[in-house]
Amino acid sequence: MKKQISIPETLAALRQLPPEVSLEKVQRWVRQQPPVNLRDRHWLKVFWDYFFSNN
Amino acid sequence: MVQSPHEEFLRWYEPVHDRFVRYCGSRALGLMETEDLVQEAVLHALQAFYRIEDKQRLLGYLIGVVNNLVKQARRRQKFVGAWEEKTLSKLESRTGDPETALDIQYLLKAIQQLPRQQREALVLFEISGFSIREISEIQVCSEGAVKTRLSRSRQRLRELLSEDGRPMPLSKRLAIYASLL
Repeated sequence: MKKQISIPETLAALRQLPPEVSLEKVQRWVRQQPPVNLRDRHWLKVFWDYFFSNN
Repeated sequence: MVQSPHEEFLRWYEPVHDRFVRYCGSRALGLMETEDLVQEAVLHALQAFYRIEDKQRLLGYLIGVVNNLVKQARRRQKFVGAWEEKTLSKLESRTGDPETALDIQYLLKAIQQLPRQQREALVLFEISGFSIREISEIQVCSEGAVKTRLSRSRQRLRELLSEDGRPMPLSKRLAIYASLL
């Protein structure tokens, strides 16, 4: 029966655990996000540019 | 061919994904779901990505965001009992062994007690698997400083988990386990 905690063994057990979040999931989150520059701008500026700017 | 900002972000993120998730997993313990922490940090970094001039610093930026999110969550945290029980049962299902799960939870709780820079260096090296050179870039310090932090953190961890360098007796460990549950 195991009676003592071994730091190297426990760290090794921890390293062997599979990652809790898959890369595919992160890719999906990122690709679902709206364009970054648009998010970063104030809504009024986006509105103004959309209707009144020629750019 | 010009890549969209999202694809460029992913190109820098993908090589560090597994190691970054491991870091998040060890920091989220008893506070929040690892998935929530990863998602919040990644989306935050995505928004700030165009402001990061040296893209090599993305990982350091992500680690910084995680540390801040953990700090905020700790401030908000009031009652941890039920959450720790949930964390433990999750660890049990991932390891398939209740004793290993308990040991991991016990070890991670001890790691949380280390000073910030030592804890970060230890988790990045021992759990995430980053090299000393990579950690020195993340922590913006010399490789020698990282080695010193690692050495001190291991020493402190041994002190936390045992007395006078010897493993802690089972009775004392069980008392600590009981206090966790």
